[in-house]
Amino acid sequence: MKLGFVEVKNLKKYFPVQKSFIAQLLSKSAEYVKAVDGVDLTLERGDIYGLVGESGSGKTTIGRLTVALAQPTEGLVLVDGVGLFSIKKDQLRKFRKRVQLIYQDPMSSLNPKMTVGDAVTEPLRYLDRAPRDEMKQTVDAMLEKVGLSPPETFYDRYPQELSGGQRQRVVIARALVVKPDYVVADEPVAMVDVSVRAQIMDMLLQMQKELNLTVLLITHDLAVAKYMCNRISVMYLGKIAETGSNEQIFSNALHPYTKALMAAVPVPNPRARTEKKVPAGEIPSALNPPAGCRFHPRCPYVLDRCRVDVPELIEREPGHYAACHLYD
Amino acid sequence: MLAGLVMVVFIVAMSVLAPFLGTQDPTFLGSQVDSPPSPRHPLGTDIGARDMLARVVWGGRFLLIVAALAVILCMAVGIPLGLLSAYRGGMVDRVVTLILDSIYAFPSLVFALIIVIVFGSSVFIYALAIAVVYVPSYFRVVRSQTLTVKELPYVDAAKSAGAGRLAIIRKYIWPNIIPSVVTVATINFADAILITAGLDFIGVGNLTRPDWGVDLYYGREAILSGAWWVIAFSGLMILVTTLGFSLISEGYAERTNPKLR
Amino acid sequence: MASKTLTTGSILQMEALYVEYTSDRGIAKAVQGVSLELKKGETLGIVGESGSGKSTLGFAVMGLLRSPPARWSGKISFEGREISSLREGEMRKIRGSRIAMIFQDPMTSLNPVKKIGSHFVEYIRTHEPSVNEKEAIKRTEATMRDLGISPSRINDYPHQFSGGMRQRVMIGLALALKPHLIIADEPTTALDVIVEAQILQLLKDLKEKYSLSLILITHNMGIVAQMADRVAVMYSGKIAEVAPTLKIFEEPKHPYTQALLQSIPTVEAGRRVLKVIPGSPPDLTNPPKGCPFHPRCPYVFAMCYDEEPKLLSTGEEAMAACHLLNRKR
Repeated sequence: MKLGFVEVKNLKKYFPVQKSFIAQLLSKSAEYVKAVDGVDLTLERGDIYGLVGESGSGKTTIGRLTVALAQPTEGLVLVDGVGLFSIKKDQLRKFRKRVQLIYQDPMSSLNPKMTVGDAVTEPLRYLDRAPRDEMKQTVDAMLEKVGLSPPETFYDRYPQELSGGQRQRVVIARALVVKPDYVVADEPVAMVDVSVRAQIMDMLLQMQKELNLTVLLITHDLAVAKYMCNRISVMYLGKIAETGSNEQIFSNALHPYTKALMAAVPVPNPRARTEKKVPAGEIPSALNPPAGCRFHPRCPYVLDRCRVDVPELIEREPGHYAACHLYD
Repeated sequence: MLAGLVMVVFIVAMSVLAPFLGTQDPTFLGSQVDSPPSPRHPLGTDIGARDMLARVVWGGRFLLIVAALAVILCMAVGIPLGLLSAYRGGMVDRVVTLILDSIYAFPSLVFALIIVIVFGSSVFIYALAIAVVYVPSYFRVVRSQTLTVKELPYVDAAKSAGAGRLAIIRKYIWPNIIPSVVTVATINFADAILITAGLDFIGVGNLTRPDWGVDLYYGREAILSGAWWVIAFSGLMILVTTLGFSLISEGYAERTNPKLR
Repeated sequence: MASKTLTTGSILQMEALYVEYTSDRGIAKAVQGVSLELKKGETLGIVGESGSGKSTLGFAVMGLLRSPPARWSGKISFEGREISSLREGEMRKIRGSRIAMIFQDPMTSLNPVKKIGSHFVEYIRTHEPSVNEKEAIKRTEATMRDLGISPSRINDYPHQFSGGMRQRVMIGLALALKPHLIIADEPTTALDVIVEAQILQLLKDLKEKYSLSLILITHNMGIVAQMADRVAVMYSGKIAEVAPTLKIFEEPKHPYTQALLQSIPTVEAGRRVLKVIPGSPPDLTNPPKGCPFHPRCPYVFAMCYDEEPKLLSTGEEAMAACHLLNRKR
């Protein structure tokens, strides 16, 4: 079977729940938050792959796992054939040049005591031993590319002196300065002003083309996913509910959760005001997820089987997968 | 904060410049015992007929040196310990924290007392005693700040950029926790002075030294015979010094942490 | 300014509202000459980004602006009565019982050591001392049912509720004293998409059930499209455009409104090309001279740099502040 550029196989991440000393003595079993519970993903080179989900879906955790900023409980992540968790530590360090992460909060993802220039130079310093003047040139070119022009005016500034949109550009510059192959963009525009989002999104699309990046775009915003991604997986409570191409997901969503998400998004079109039937309840805790299909307590189409059997992610039409008993 | 700075600068200047200020010899045993303020002895004399003005001017030196030394020792041990332990985490962190919390629980004055009694009352021993007791304070503050900063995305980003453990601590964590260290250091200073003066007051210290705490020791008895000047001025000096440092500490904390305003 | 007839049936009027407050970086001109009217039973959406002044408007109406650090001038009338010059004691009688506010973050607005039921009961009894405890509890249970929360949870604590539930509690508290006007400031921004839809539906239902008037403050155009009868678009402390919802979306007259609508992605069918708006929202401590949008406007011309455009009528109940409108005449 041909491997994608980024392959995620049966990825699991369980976080043990901190218990007090006495509780630990009294109870036998450890409790886990099953943030990611058996996820498979295949990203082809050049994909902009959207990972869509609400809070508690595990999407941010997956992002961090695929750039080796966290260790999985189980499962593999392969980037260009290399298993991120099976190589030695120093090999991993060198590999970091190829995988980077763009964070969602531009304020807390930049060191307040470091200038823009220093921040963007850091990855070059550690991952790309080039002489100092060469590094400065590379950084200047990068700042220019992300729209922080002229670079000299931004080089010595501190993050606090910049606007939200400018900070986000610095974060992107820092991630892309080493010309990685694979980038995880975690909610890249969620904390940016509305009128500035299009700038950032277009800039990301441009950079993706230029560097032939493979991007995992993590977002809760379906509209952003629709605009930017060619392929999308929808997650719910640590598992994938549906995977398909942009076209498939938005014109022919299969999973009831995907449909619910689409129906729930407030559309900027006053003529599209329908009485929305939204599922009741909220996302349950990942500590004790519902048995069987995790969505069953809220699903308008629930069958008896759903309460007991965990649905498998099965291909329903070429390239379009859904984990739902309605289609079994 | 400014008020505090003024006070501290005044005290430090006075202590440093003492040899040049042309006072009488603070250790000279004269003849007018316990005499009230007069033109010849503007602040009176004590039981050894030593000039009080001279003793006030000279009395801070020992205390300041001990405090400075204690702070330096404390920082040298407490800060790296806090940084490394918090960053490392896990079992190591828990053990180290346990040890240091135990020391923290110890009453500082008693501990210092024991050490000074056993090992003598030189500058170094005093400083060491105070340092040992105070290291946990630095440790705790540095550790808690490090734990917080460690979880921030920009530390993750540093890891992504390939930075090693030491580089991260040096460039990403330390610069962001300096304000809290300064706050602890200034309080540490004030406390060190109080502990040292306190030990002198009990009579444990070297009683021949010109030292505000020693003045308090003599002043205890002197006041019974109505000689208030022995205790008053030296006591005032201690007050001003510790108040000064406390004000700096608070003022600085307010400046750097907008939430406190 | 376009002529304004004081329409009967108007429940809230803001006239020439100016708000400034001192911040770390200077004096922020949060609201600069805003006049708005809200009709009884209407949902008015106030849309703006950070630095538009939209939240400040809400606080001004509630009399929650503290001076210092805020300084303000202008007139606010509620139900025919001027409330802008009321003293705190008088304002307190109105707050909660006539006008209530819902905030973005339900977590910090609830007391963690008080049971949910207590929040309601104490609130009711403080404002209506004649109500006894039993009566208050009955009312609370009825409210909880309205909110979609099981009354059996009356003795639970805030931390036992999820984000969406807590926001429902906030809405319930806002309604507890049966106010006539609700101001909701980004009520769903901190919530997940599906819960957001639930809460918006809840607001719609409750508004109808209790004949409320609603001011909905948000940065999300989708929300106002779904909820509002009229929309006021704010930019840099001023109103850029105000019109009935349909008109704002289908015939926007202000370049900012137009650009905003063309720059937001949507899940609706079809492939879109988003129009990029250059620049960033203005800094309130240093707003641009002339028209605040001019640095980013695709149609900017000479007049825009120096003169502030005034709100001009663009149709039935619609106004926009743009020099282009003058030109067309």
